[in-house]
Amino acid sequence: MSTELRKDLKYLGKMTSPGGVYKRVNFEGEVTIDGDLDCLEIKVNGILNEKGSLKLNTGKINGYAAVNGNMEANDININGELKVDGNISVKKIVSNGKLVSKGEISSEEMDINGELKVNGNCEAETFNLKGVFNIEETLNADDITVKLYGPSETKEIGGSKIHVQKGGDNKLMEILTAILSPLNFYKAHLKADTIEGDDVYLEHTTAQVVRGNTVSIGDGCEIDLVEYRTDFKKTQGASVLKDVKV
Amino acid sequence: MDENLISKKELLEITGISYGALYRWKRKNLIPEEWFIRKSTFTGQETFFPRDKILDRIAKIQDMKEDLSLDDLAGIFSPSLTAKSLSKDELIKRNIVNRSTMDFLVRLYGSIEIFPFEKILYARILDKALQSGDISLEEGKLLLDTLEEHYKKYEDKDCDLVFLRKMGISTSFLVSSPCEYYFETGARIVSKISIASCIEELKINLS
Repeated sequence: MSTELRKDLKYLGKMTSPGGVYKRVNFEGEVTIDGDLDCLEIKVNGILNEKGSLKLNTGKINGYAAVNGNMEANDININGELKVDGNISVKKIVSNGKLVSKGEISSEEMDINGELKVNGNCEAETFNLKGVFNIEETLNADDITVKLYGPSETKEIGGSKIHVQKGGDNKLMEILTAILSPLNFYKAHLKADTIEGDDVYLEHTTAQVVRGNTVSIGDGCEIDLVEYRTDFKKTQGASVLKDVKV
Repeated sequence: MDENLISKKELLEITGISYGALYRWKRKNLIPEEWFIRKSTFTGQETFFPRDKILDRIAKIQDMKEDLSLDDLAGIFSPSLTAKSLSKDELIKRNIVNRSTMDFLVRLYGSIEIFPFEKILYARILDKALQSGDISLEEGKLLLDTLEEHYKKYEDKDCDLVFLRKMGISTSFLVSSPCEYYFETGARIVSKISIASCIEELKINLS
């Protein structure tokens, strides 16, 4: 629909709407949308329950949003939690808080601070994460930078540059977690079956196979097999059962 | 089946591409998800590909990526139909359909001047089958009927057209690809045409 025909929508308080096509959408309070919503701009302060799919150009969610269908956007900014039952297709995602997709995520730029949970594959050109993630299938991105703050898991990681390190040097937090959770329940650690990239750097990672051109294995890693083409390094604090130059 | 697979490691070695490129092409849908075959080996999980298909695809990508963007390439490789259409004369001029096949089509459908992409595809498949000499004109009609009636059901999925003959009686059908099938002895596959590769070929020809 052309931009001129779209109208603005504004709700305050607890409301229910059938959805539709809009220009600017502003929700404050608790809003339930029964059908699909298509808008150029959305701003949510509070709670949004979208029963259909959500399509938007640019959006900001402060609070909590749940989408039952798919979500498609140009750029989205989340402060709080976004939970999508379908697939997420977004050019740029910035998430401070929690982001959940029960389908797949495909995007160009992902900037995640906090928690990411994906039931399918997660694809991006650049993937930046500070926090924890759980991707049940593959994390596929050109440039992957992860700062681990807790237990993370995925089946496969693939890309050009893969950089995984333990986040933060917060000594106080470390002491506190050591006292509060002696079983290391919240230990910053990544578990994956396969990690493949051109340039791979890993810390605190358990993996069966790591393959790459240049592979560097840092402290806290337990790797069964490393296959590298040009260069392989490992620190004292790393365990690599077997390394092969291919 | 096993000897027709290639491991990811061997693929990268032969083609000289990097992990980054392979994952990028997968992201851009230049390489279909179904081609990534995961198997457990003694070194853990390994990924294999159908050898001929992947080598052919990578050669094409390397050949064309200078001139076309990755998104354009994805359009060419995807099995979805495009909105392009061509005139009858253009089809013959571009060598998509042979003149005698065209005459046959005209006899069957009456005179169509403009062919939508879907019809171009059917015509091309028919042309391929007829030119190979494997099937007769009468059987060609059978083949067209199969396509007309059922191809749409596959939407954007890859499928093969299989032409079978037993004791002079012929039949044709569509199967999703990749797929294994077996017949009673005496039945013979006369012709097997990959529709996805026909579409790809047409899209390159038309672009």
